[in-house]
Amino acid sequence: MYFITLLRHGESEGNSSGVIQGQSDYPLTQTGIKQAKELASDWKLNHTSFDLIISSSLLRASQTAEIIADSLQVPIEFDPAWKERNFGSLQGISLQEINQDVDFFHPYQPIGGSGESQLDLFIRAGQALQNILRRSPGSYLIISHGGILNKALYVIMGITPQGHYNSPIFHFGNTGYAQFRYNPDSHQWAVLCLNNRGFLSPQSDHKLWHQD
Amino acid sequence: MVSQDLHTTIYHITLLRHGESQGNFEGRHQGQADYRLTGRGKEQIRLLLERWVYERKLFDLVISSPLPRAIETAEIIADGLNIPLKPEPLWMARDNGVLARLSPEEVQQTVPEPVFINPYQPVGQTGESLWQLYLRAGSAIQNILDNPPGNYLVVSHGGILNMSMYAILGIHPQPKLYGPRFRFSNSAFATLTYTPASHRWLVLGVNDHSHWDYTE
Repeated sequence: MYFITLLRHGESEGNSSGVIQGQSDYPLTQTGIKQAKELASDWKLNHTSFDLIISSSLLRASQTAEIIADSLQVPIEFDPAWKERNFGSLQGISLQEINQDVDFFHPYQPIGGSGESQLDLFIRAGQALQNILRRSPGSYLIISHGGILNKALYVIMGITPQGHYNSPIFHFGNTGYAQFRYNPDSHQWAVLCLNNRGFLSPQSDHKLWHQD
Repeated sequence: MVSQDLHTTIYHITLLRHGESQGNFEGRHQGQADYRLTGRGKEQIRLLLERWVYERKLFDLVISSPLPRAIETAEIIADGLNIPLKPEPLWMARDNGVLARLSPEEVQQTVPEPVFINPYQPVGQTGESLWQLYLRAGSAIQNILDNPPGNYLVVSHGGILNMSMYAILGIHPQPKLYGPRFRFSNSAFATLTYTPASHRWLVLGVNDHSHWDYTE
């Protein structure tokens, strides 16, 4: 049996200033550090542990991973396959600037000129997930980003990218996590929770609506 | 950022599973059989109500399966938050045929286990197939969206709530036990929004039960 937890990083400088981050590096804010610490102590209190942490190599994810790894004494591996979507020329642009009606886009179209298409991201998420399932059964914590975690959920649930804005979005707040149990003998995925943030104190529970 | 005035153009939908019932407590297949909430089940819903009062949660309407375990759950919330309650049979639990009221041991002794279950096959010999349940869940969602945008609470059951997630997300019913299973613990809920102008579904959370600690 595999027990898989998909965690979004804590609040980053990019989140708090409201820009599209993509694969650019932004450190955690003080709030982000606090969120990761609150999560780590909640897991410690509830005796939740993991055999391995696999983290995106981007700074906001690796900082989150290190806080949790230190607290729970779990080894970390960094895997660039869990990096956020490459948003091309949109990286660094404020969300408000691009929050306008855009022409229809199909799922194979690179975002921001040179970025990854929805399908590119879906395929990368599928490979990243398969890499976990080729390890031995166990408990894995993945620390990653809203965009690619959405596509990992698509892979798990059997949803294909629809193009434009026509496919569902799974909201991941900062340090929100989803948990799954996978039984390879029957190919059964149990979705145990999505966007769990019940452990956060009210001061850390910013309702941020953007994804990346 | 989502501002307040968008409330009128967006559907806010909360899908809640009933609290612990006598059938849950005894570990029986319930289907459409009449089981009421246990004391623990009522306590779960009272704590959920307390939480929603604290969070200033507002609903325009509670839509509930008419089965006792759901209606009792819905009444506690509707009375506590002072919201109208509408029973809707589309949200009833799956008709599980001869399995209703049986324990897993009784099922093993009396009902032959099918070698393979395709999605069109009735469950428990005379019950609803997975496709029928999926189609009913689709009608139930359509039925909500035939109302004007607003904040709706649905009180229902694990199986059909799973198929409504399938209908929302675009997942087909699959044979046997293939296909993801969304966990809805007793008194746990999923939160979604739907924007009709862009056909956008946003899943805000699934199996939220932070008002009740399940030690697994």
